[in-house]
Amino acid sequence: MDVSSNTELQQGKECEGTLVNLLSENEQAIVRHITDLYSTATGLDSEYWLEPASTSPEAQIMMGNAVQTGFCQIIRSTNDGCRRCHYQATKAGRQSFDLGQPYVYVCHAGLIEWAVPIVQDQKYLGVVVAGRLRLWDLDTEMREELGARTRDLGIDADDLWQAMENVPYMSADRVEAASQLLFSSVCYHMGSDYRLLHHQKKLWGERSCMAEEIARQKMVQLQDMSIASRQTVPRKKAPAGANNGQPSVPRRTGTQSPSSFVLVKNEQELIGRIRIGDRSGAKEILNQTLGNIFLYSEDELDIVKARLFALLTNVGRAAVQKHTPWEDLGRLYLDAFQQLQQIVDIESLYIWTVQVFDQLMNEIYISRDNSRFSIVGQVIQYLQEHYAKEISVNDVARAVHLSPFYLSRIFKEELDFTIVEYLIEIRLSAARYLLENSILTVSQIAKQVGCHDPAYFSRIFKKHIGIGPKEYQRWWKTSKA
Amino acid sequence: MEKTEILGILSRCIVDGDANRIKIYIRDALRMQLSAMTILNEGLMPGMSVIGRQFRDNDVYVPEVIMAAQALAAAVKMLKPFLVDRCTGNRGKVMLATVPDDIHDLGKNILGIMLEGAGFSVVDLGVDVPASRIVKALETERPDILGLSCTLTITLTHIKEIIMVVRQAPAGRQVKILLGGLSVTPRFAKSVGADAYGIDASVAVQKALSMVSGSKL
Ligand code: B12
Repeated sequence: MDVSSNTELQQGKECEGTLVNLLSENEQAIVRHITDLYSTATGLDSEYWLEPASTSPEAQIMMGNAVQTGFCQIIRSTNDGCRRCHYQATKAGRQSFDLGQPYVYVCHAGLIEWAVPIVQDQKYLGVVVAGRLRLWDLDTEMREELGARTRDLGIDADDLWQAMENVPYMSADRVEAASQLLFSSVCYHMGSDYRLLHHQKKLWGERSCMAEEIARQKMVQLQDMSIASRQTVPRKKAPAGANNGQPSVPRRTGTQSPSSFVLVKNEQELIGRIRIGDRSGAKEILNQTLGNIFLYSEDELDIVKARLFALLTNVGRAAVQKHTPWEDLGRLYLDAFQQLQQIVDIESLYIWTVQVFDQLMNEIYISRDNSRFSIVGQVIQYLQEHYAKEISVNDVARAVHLSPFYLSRIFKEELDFTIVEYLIEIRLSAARYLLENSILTVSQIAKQVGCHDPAYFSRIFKKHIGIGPKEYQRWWKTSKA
Repeated sequence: MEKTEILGILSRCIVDGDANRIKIYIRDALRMQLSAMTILNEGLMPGMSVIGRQFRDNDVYVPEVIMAAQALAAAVKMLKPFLVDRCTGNRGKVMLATVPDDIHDLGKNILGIMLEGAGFSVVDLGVDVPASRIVKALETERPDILGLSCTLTITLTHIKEIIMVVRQAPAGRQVKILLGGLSVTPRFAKSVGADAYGIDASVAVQKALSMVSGSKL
């Protein structure tokens, strides 16, 4: 952690009078009380740092509670150590304010701590810090790291290491639980702005999705690159999770821009998914589309904006069909359009898109119920009407506006066999009817049921029925006679 | 043991945040003649991706991620001598930094090791580095290349600011700017006027080499 940019320390709020910080006496007593309770219950250090009420250099940040951890006492016996703790605590407080969650971090000297913000009227007023423990065993490696972190503080390394031996160990899940507990109690007792914090937490949820989508696409690109660089080596299984279970968004290679092609293709898929009520599936597609645009598109921001807006309106219009009154959506789009004008960077654009999409989904789902099965029904109907022609899963998928991959998956999940297997069933039963009731030859029948390769037809027939079509025909005729 | 098996175990050690076990298996993998790049790209990185997704899905929380990062750092430390090409001679100087408000540095550190291996001298300013400190260091260090690492998507905006400040400073007018890290995309790098972008550390080394040799990227 960098400590040279100390400007954050002076970022208190300008205030008249003699106020030292922005909390009342009573509120300060409450913070002190919570940190005492917390320390007593957990046996861990906890302290708080309040923002100064004025930006003047004399208005030092208020600190409460004495440090118990021997390790930290040694660190803070130096000016630099003290300054670093100070800087990091306030920085962590602001980070947790931004996250809307407790912020768990490794401190400048290597201990695990967590920070939770004190928030009122949407303002950051201070931080409660707790923890000071280790997640690891004490070994030579850790000793080396400690040395590297504290070398410039001029502290005796052996003393510090001895103190480190008294720093308690805690498992990861207990750290998480302890940080959540502190967060809840501070928020509750300080009357923190729950809605704001919750909003921030949600925002980071979207950011996670965005970043992971970028990570996934980069991984795919790196795999393509490594395959290209050793073309003779057969393609091996993708590393864990590289692309597993992901629907078939066109795979991108090289550096060409995806722009409108990807958008149009994914638009169909989005519409299909929304229609069958697969909200999370729809969101997955949206995330991929966005990741793709942000990673590869070389268009100007304004063009990307216009495209995304068009995508959302098209999807909305097509997906609602007769269900949602268009006026409701009109209002939604108008608001969204106004927000869109303010956006100047990709990150906000991503989050805007996801949020508008969420609202859109809400509107759509309020007004109808869905069943995946209706899609399966449509597929079956399509197959029955078209089996005599040469059709592929792609054709079926196009007819119901879904990707072949995805359609195949839900079809299989609902009926427990694949589209191709189902198509074969339809064809074979039609073929048997013709073999039994017509005087057509086997190859004519094969053609009539959509199989243009008689040899293939015979093979499949034999595999499913047990005997070949010619034999079947003969057998049927003799048995009838 | 099979190659895929040991890579799977290494990935698992990252996910479990097991800095002790990982050292044992890195040693085994090296004994099996796996290259350091294979171990990194096909064992360790996939483990990190799993943790990233688990974190997104709230299946794990920050403490587990911290442990995974510790495990990766331990593994990279062991791999260090093997990541180096043992190139001698001076190819030039690279200055590395992670942008303000961002403390992700594993990728940058790996890049630093590989650049040194390729014959560069590397000055690492650390994480959460403000523009002012970068400019000051440019004056004293006079590097050929400035490599900025940015992982968080919100901190991308800082890159823009840094590049502006750097280009205005006399010491920063000539320096080549190389960008990388999870949130940096080619599109972004182009839009802020960076000289190059590296999708991973190996590519970044290639870009750095062509930057100093003056050939086209
Ligand atoms: C490990 C990790 C951490 C560790 C970092 C430890 C460390 N010392 O770096 C810790 C626990 C500290 C951490 C903290 C946080 N993290 Co984090 N973290 C990760 C994780 C799981 C892996 C990152 C990593 O190290 N990968 C391995 C390295 C080797 O890969 P890399 O960085 O991409 O580097 C390669 C290339 O990018 C390139 N490269 C890297 N740098 C450079 C530079 C140049 C010049 C070039 C050319 C190339 C280049 O080369 C490298 C090797 O090939 C990612 C998830 C993910 N999918 O990446 C989340 C992730 C990045 N973190 C995230 C978040 C939200 C956080 C926190 C806010 C969490 C919290 N609630 O506290 C904090 C933020 C702290 C801060 N202010 O920075 C999000 C980011 C979301 C977003 N939109 O920005 C992610 C995506 C997780 C998620 N799914 O939500 N994190």
